[in-house]
Amino acid sequence: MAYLQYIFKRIGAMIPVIIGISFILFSILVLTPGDPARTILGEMAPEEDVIALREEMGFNDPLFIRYFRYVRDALHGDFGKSYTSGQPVVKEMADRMATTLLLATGSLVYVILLGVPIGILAAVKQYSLSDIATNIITFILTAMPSFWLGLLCMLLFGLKLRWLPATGSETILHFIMPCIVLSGPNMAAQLRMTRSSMLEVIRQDYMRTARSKGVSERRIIFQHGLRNAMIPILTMLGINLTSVIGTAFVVEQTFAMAGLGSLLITGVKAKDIPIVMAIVLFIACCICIINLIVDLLYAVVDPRIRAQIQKK
Amino acid sequence: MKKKAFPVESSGGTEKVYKKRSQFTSAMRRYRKSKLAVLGLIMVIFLVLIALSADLLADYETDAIRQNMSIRLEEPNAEHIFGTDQYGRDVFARVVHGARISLLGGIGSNIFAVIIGLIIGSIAGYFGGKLDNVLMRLMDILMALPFSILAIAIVAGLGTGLDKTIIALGIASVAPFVRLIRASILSIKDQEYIEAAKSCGTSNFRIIYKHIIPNVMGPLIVQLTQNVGRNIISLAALSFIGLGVQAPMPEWGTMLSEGKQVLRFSPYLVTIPGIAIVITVMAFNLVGDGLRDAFDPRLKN
Repeated sequence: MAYLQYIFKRIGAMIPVIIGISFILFSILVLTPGDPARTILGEMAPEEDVIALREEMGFNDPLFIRYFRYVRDALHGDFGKSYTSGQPVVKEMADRMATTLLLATGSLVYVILLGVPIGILAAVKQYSLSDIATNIITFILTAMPSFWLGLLCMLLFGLKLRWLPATGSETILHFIMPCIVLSGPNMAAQLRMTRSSMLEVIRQDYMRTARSKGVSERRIIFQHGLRNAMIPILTMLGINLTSVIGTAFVVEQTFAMAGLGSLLITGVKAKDIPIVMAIVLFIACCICIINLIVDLLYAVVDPRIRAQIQKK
Repeated sequence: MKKKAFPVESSGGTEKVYKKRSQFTSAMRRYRKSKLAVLGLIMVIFLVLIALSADLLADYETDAIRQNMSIRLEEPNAEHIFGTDQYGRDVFARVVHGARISLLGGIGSNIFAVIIGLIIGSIAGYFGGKLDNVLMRLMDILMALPFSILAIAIVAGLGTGLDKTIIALGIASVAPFVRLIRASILSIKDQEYIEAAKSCGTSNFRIIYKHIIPNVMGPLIVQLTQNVGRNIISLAALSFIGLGVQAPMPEWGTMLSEGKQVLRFSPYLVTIPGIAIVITVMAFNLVGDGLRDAFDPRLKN
């Protein structure tokens, strides 16, 4: 029961943040120059039509009234229609959601499968040749813009070697390269954090005690070491998933994938307020949920945190 | 209280000033010991010199901007060491002038963020109360979005262009600075020397400016240099997707997006600006890491 209470409390704390984001974002979009009625009708439309539409859609109303109208409709599941395509925003997003989610999950899988084990290895064999090599590679990856890495991969694997399709998002093969590219800097961050977190633990006294008791090296590393190093690793995983979602739009644009990110970019270019609002709010909700899941996972890996929650 | 009248070197009443300075020099001594950090600093100085002397190396109007279709897509050669792009512009000239834009964007956006952060952070930390609460909730909201999404949302409002992108990146970088400054102020605020200053009737503004901010400088500089690399990448990313610096300005991200169109036949148009970004970001990351270790040796692993 304590868990359910905790979850509800956390979800309750999310609501003001989402409201805050939506209000700030809405104000930024509405108060800055630009005429939505003109965007909807196009450059060629006669002035009378624009004025009439402005009145009809309520674009002349004060900010607060427009914001409350937006929230009221959004709570009913209506996020408005795109100014440029005229389609409902929910439908446009639903068509592209799968691409972005697949891209983000794929990248996270790479981050976990490469970042965590190599990080552990680098820590266990500190100052070895492989440790130094991973240090150099992570350093370069951190400094590399994901879209440039994408262009290089596209050039090598897509155009020169022809192993993988260069652009698009139709088949699963199209996702291999973008996922690697998107995970690049995040994998480096994950690796660094795993390494330093493991290094911290390895120096502890109980590790030496375990070793002197004759516990197998494998058990020492995974049972005694990794479990105690898990909290920072999990925190970093959460941050990385957030950053994967936050930077997916650049990679989608690089590989010409039809995902939420490319929709956001076209929306920002055309100042399509309903599209930008809905996508940014969606991302904000995703991130709040990720943070909640990470906090719940803390309780799974660490009995001390579990006890704390149960005590409340 | 006549602290100011004494030169720093003199003894006696200026102990505090002297101590602060030695803290800074000892940080610099630690910094010099790290070869990588020194290498980073040399790289940064080199890049800054290139950016400053860009006009001497290549003329902005004739080499970097004006199209010259008769020499389009020339591979790197003696006359154009980095080749020319599809509009016949010298890539070397564009990369060199791009350094100016990237450094301006990376450093400028952070300085913007530091100034705003200092104002909001010191108000929140020093005066506390309801105002503090409101400002910090606002920062929580800003921090709930990923950096690049926040930047793109602000660009959606402001529009594109170098100045607007710098402001957008600056606003997106503000929240961590505010937190840092507020936290430092909270830890300093109740120290005896602040109380002493207050009892002498020093104004709030002077206390913040003279007694508090110098104490925050260390972590502030560390955070700033560590942010520069990220902001340079973000500026290039925004320009690459068409939401940052607009063509024909020679921003590295813009150059990459133009190079992408002829990727198959002229890959050097993509590799060269990319390498420029990686080197610049690496240089700032090295300096950032070096400063972090120098100011807080306990963090080093």
